[in-house]
Amino acid sequence: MDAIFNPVGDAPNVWHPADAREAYLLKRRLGRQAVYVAGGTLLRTEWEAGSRSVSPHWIDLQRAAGMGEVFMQTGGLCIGSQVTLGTCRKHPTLTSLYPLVGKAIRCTAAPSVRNVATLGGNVCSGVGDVLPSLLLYDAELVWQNEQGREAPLPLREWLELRAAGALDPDRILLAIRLPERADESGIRQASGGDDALPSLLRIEVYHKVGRREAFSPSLVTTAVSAEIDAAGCFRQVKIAAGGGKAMPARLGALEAWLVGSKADLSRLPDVYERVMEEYQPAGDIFAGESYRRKTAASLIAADLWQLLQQTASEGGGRYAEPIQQRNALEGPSGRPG
Amino acid sequence: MKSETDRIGLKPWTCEINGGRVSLNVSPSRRLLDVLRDDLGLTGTKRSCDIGRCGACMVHMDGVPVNSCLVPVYQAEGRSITTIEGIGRDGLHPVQQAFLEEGGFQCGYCTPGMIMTVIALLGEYPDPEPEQVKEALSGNLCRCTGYAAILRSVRRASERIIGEGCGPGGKGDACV
Ligand SMILES: Cc1cc2nc3c(=O)[nH]c(=O)nc-3n(C[C@H](O)[C@H](O)[C@H](O)COP(=O)(O)OP(=O)(O)OC[C@H]3O[C@@H](n4cnc5c(N)ncnc54)[C@H](O)[C@@H]3O)c2cc1C
Ligand code: FES
Ligand code: FES
Repeated sequence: MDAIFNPVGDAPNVWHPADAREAYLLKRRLGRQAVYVAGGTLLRTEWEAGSRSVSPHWIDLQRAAGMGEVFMQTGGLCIGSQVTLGTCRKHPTLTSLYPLVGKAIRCTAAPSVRNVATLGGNVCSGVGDVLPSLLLYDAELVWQNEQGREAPLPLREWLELRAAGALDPDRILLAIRLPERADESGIRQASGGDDALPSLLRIEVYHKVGRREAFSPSLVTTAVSAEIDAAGCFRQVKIAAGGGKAMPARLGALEAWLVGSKADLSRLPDVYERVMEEYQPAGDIFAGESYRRKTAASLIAADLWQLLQQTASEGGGRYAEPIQQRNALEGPSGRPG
Repeated sequence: MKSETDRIGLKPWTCEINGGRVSLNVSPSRRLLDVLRDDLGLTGTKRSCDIGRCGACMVHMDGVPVNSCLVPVYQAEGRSITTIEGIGRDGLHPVQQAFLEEGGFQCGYCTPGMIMTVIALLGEYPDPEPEQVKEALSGNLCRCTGYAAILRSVRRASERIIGEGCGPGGKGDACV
């Protein structure tokens, strides 16, 4: 490896490793003086805000080989960490099989930022607005360490390990894997066993609530997918919430409580209360924890209410249209920020 | 592997700007915005927030809009950049014409960025839905117009572009 030069003046030193392994070794060598740069959009925000000092060594991941493709593989869809949010947003397979990922990306920054920002950067931030949608689809992360490519790690586990500070900070995210869904259209078919009853209705919804309608940091994000079967019971319930600086998480206790239970309106007050108990937001001076908790609880209860309304009005045999993404807290003008 | 910093921190950098090849010695971590304005004198690209939030610095990189204040120049190496100076060189572009006719600007500071965004939008969707316009323009702030005139300008530009056959693959005279 070349000698390491000291950066001159304020100009950071930019490195272009050929692949992820080389990048990892370089990071190990330069230590805390170096930072991985993907799109650099979040880093720029942090540098300008003074919440992070500008690193003297930048390790460019975008030119490193093997992290820039989206492709189907056995068991699901693989998205290279360096794929931009803009590419993801327009990727037909990604957006049709995993619609909430597309919706979450549409609510992230603006198109021009998304043309530079990567999905890997959004994940690695630990608080990106796309994370709840990835959690909903049980995404897995593939990492590079010194030895090579690690076995896929569920995103859910990674977030917990990260919060506990139990991870090698130099690992490189190679790819995000979304497990195969039941069929091409994303609609689960009855297949015997636990799935013996066909679903009547299903809903998949993502919300981002910010202080403006668009192009605004999130206060709360929620992602919900739920089905009601022919016996009128909830099944396949998945609920995730995040937003702001909160660690996005699945609300596993609420999911378990709902699955198999009778889907009727009387449960909704309990749904609200259970979100209030289970969701752990992070407040700031603009919006406290209690406000965020109530917002998440209202959104999730409202989504399930919509599903129940569909059940009541449309009967069996079809799936609910996903509800449009909504951004609340908008002034009367409705103008994108 | 190579480091891009030599003893004086500058490295050769080449890209295509407004159709011409440009070679400079620059520090690779500098913002594209600074190089365009300060080194190349392309001051049509405006600076305002410096953090990707206002859209004044919008340029096209390989045909898609990016905030040049967010792009370190190494990311633009070998790529094709179009600034507002590269638009309408043989007469006003239909989007520029529409902004003039509909009063889509007042002080004009946001206008180069707006024009770049709208050209990219109409290049992809010549007849965009209101939602598509809203999404495309969500990263461009205007402090003067209240946006109504800008939205009228987009509609008028769209009509003109469709009329002149400038959709994707179009060959009309006013196509970029
Ligand atoms: C104007 C503006 C608006 C924004 N709005 C939103 C928003 O609405 N929602 C939102 O979620 N975000 C938003 N962001 C933040 C940011 O754009 C996104 O989170 C983006 O996806 C980050 O991707 P990036 O490639 O730019 O990451 P970078 O800035 O390059 O990196 C982010 C972090 O991840 C690390 N990293 C990146 N890739 C890897 C990898 N492969 N392996 C290991 N570490 C890695 C970096 O070292 C850094 O610490 C906004 C940013 C701007 C400038
Ligand atoms: S100066 Fe680049 S977006 Fe504001
Ligand atoms: S015309 Fe003045 S900022 Fe838009």
